[in-house]
Amino acid sequence: MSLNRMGLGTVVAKQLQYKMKAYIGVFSSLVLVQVIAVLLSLGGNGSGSSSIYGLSINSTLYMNVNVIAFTFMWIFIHAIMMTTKAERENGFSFVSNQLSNNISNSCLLLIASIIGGITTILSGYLLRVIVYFFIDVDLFIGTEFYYPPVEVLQGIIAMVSYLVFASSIGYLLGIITQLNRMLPVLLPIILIGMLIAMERAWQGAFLKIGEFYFQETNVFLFLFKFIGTAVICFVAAILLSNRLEVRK
Amino acid sequence: MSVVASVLPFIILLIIIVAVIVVVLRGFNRVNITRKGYWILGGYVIVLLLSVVIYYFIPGPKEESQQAPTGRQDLSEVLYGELPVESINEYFEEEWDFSYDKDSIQIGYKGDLNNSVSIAVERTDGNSIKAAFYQTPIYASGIELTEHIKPIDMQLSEDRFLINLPETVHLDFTSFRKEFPLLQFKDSPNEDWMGDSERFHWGDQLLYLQIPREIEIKTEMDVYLEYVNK
Repeated sequence: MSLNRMGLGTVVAKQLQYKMKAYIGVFSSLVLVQVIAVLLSLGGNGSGSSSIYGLSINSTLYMNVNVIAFTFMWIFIHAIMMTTKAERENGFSFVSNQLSNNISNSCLLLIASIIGGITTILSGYLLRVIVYFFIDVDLFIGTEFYYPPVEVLQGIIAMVSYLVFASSIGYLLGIITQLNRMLPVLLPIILIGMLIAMERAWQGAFLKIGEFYFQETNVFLFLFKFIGTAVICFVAAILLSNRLEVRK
Repeated sequence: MSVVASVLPFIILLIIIVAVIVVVLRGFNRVNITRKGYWILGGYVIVLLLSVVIYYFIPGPKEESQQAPTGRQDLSEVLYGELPVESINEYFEEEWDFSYDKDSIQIGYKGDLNNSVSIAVERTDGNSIKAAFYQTPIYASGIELTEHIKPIDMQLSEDRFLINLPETVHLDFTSFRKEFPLLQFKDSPNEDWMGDSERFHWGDQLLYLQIPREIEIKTEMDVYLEYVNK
């Protein structure tokens, strides 16, 4: 037993420092995932042709939605993986308890979300540059090629918020599945069942929830909704994790 | 074969998802505590920042999309005689004037019939046949394409009045769509992103013929005339 009494903040900071090194694979996998997504986007996300008044227009549409989808998967899977028993055990390599371990995990997910959000939006530039120089060099370029810097900044804020939100849900689900051996199998079924039941009981409820979050155009309300929900999920995860095996 | 073709995208998607999960799980390997991971991330960030710099040097449409002009651009009201032809003068493109002294005329198309045009006929008291062509602007993905349209031409040979339709011009273009997080704080974020209606603005075309009343008009197959007066 150490005679040094360390405050929660110090323990969390130490653990975060350790985890940033230990989980560097999380960030290198982000790079791989996004590079794969950008490469897949090079094939175009859609094409169409129209003909009128002697003009036949063939267009190929490029967008970065693959990177967004893959980054969501990346953060969600990592958030769940962090709650596995093996990973929780590793968290106790340093002086820690469930609370400090969970807070440091949340901070790590927050940092991962920030990095993931920024790189996701910036990869839109990479896609445009690659397409311009290596794909359809001399073709007509549509107007959404243009990225106004303000929109990019807003996009980063929105993307980081989505990722924090997704990671908090993943983390909470991960903790819930640790409560009982059967839950990893049952939880997806229970969740889907609940969604179907909710949709039947209150038609359009699912859509309303989507609108509540994704139709919010006010930056502050948007942040309040997303970050607020994420905080609730993380707090719920911390409270639930106290019911897991006690680590002295 | 068709069954395989329909299932193939799902198989590819499944393979991609599995590949992503494998990559993510490998990334979770805690053994990798080396600096390699930081180098990979750092290298990627540098590439992204370089692409931002290069992007701003690309000579291209850096401004917002050209807005399709508002107001009436439907030429059908002139076609059906509800409005005078003078009301669409701003869309005037070209005119032709032929003196004609025969009793009848046959109007026909020549060229690519896929590019036929709406024809309005006004019976006049003069002794010449006049033709005027009107075209409202065409926009696709915020770019005006009107200049790419080949003009029609008119020919009068004996008693045949031929409308020379242009050959089809093929335009290939690459378009981009902004990702939905960039539009989150717009007035209607998801509608902007999902909506496709504003991407094409097809405009309208009209050929306005002024033919003396005394001349009998006959049309060849595929030629449809709308008389704005009798």
